[in-house]
Amino acid sequence: MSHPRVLMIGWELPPHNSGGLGVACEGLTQALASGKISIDFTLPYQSPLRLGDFRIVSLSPLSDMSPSETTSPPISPPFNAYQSPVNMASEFAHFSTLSFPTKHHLTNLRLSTDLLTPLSKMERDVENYAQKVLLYAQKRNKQIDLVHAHDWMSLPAAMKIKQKLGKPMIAHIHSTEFDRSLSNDYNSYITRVEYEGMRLADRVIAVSYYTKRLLVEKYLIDPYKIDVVHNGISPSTPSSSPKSDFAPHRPVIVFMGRLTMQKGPDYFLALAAKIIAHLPDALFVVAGSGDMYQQLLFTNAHHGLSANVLFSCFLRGPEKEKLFKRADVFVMPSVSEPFGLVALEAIQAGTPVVISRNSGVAEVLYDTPAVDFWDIDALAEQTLSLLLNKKYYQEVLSRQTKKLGSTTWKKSAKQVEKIYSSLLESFYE
Amino acid sequence: MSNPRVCFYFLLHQPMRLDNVSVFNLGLNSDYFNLQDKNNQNRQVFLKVAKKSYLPMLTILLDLVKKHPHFCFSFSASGVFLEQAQLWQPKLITLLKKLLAHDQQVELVAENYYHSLSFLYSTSQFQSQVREYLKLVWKLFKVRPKTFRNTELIYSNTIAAQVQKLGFDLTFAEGVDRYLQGRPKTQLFRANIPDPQLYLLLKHAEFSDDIAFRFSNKGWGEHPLTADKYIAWLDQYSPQDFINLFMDFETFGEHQWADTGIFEFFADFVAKHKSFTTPTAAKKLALDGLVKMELSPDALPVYDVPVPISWADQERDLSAWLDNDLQKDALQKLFVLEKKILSTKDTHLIKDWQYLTTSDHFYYMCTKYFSDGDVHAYFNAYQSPLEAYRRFCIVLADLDGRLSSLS
Repeated sequence: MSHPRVLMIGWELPPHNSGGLGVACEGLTQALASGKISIDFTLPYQSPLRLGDFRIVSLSPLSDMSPSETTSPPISPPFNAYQSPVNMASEFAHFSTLSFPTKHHLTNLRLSTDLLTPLSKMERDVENYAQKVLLYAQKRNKQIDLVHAHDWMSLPAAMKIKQKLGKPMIAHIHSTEFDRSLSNDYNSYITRVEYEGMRLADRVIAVSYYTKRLLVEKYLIDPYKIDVVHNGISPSTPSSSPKSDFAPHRPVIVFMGRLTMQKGPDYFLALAAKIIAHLPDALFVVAGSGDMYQQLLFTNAHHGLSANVLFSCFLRGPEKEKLFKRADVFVMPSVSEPFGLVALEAIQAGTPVVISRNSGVAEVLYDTPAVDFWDIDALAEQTLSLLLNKKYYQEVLSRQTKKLGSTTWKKSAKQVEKIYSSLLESFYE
Repeated sequence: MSNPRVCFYFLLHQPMRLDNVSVFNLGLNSDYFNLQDKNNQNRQVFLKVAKKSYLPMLTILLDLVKKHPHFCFSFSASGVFLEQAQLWQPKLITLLKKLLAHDQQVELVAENYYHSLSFLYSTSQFQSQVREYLKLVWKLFKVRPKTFRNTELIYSNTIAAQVQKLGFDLTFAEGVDRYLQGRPKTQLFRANIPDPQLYLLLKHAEFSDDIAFRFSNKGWGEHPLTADKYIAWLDQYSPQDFINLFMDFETFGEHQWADTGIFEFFADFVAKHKSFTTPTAAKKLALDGLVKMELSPDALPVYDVPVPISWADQERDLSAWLDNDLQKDALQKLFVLEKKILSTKDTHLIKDWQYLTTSDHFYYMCTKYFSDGDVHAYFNAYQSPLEAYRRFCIVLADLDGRLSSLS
């Protein structure tokens, strides 16, 4: 088998992405495709023609959205990949209880062994998408050597193809329901899909050792089946956005991410309150949107932070980069972060980062002190050291910047290529 | 002549709404209200309301004043309103001048320039905003008002003392049952302050709301309201009573659109109702009546209001502006800046800060989502109370930055 032909099943790509999943899929697929791998990348929505080394296949699960009718692409993906968790965990006939060694917030995840039927619109869309992808795969059967699916939204499609067409299957896990719900009100349909998908997959790729451990401990996946491939970062295109000089002379500390429990925005506000006591002119920018938005505004006002903590809404592209360029420190206080690409993007824009220990990116930035998300004192100490000690600031920034050089998509693609060839060898020989 | 005396008061006000200032513009001389842009929201709203309400209703009022010598009314126009009128629809100023030329029939009432809540946070700022208002109306209309109406009819004993100190002898308040304690609100009251020289007219909420809120409501049992029916209701009161009908000027043509028949109703009512008074004339009538009976003003009932009341929402308190944490912290952070802002003597900076004191900014942050929520949603300039707060925070931070760059 010389040039593997891969059916990559995705859910979003920039610019129509809701977060890091789209960015990671694009980076990895580009790097793979610029090598010897031929890739068809499926999406559940119409995407404008793009120049790239891989082919985009639009397979909308919505029956009333035929390609010819879709004239303008949506600004955001039609289905937000990670919605707020909805409680559907009630009717478990059998379940296994797993415990997670870290205490804070994280308790037990229960896995039903019954197959569940899709209930929400999102779940039905995922099912319909799986049907569409299967039809496509059946048509192109001979041109597909393996399927590579990203996260739970793509797993049902990959499972169908594996079961019907006998193709080898890779489940690539960027984020789990466990990270998103922290086992509070998690969606049992999604955890079930994740579990079944990984069980059926021939190989599982986790974006970090942090995630691998979670897959082993929470989903009982055989550790020997899981490879870890860290995300990379695309080299920055110089001058893509001008340097922003807003709020001159004020220390600017930035949070960027979905405003949801998983990302720890409430810890960022607690950090702000602590730092303002030392640096009254410090300015905090919260960039993102999400289910905690209203709650965060009220917490902000309640703690008297109205003139210091500002909310910029969701930023993308040049604006995101602009904010990173101006930021003095980027803080990622995630409660559970499978990888945390956003931290590398901040470093790339020349901003040192303070990161949660519960993150995959901490494995890449291994010589940066990571902090427990709940330890506001430690977060504040790290942040203040960076703001107040110029020498330390430079030292940390150069250490972190050095890591970018070895964290490329090319490197990630090489690892994935190896996984492809060993899988195909064992499968077809 | 058997009709009770009707005392009209209309409020003309439009705030300076905040533009969507981006965090990326912090410290870069943002125009918070986007006044340089011809298509800015404030100008558009002002022109729209002028067309629907201010221009037609002021024209009707002028006709009625000329046609019916017995017809009187009072109004106030906030400083922020008069600024916008001068900028974008100067015809309104001309109409107001023509009306005020009939000085026996039309009374201009004073207020604080920015329609602010300054009296709750800073007596000196409150006084300065009132003085700024008096200066403006003297310049525009050569009028020196003697009657004062506070923002949104907010009133308490403490506020009364401030108002008296500024030299006014008459003011307005909402007639609130918990402070009326069964007494009719159709008489002249005295303020409960030391050495009271300040009198009060109380709003008749039921009759005011028949026009201001219920007029076009088809679900209301009395719809459609005619002048004859309305006068029959008023006539339950004696000719000595004062029925104080206080409402937003925008009631005519904006809250109640022209096609509801509101303009025709009003003209018909003025033609048929035989007894009107201005606030100042009402006060004089009441005091003269006492003299006739050989009584001193001490005989007037006292309106004792220890906790502030207003004309807003069901609660008639401050909760429309000062209830949730968003409102409290935004207001607090704004007024914390006062001393520093004033000490810069930077007129542009001070003006921007004063525009932010306008009560509407905090009204937009209100999150009382029950029956009053509808009214709040109708009057909200932004998508939501959260957006009002989000924008306000960014501007607060910018003000802070301007302050430190000056010091």
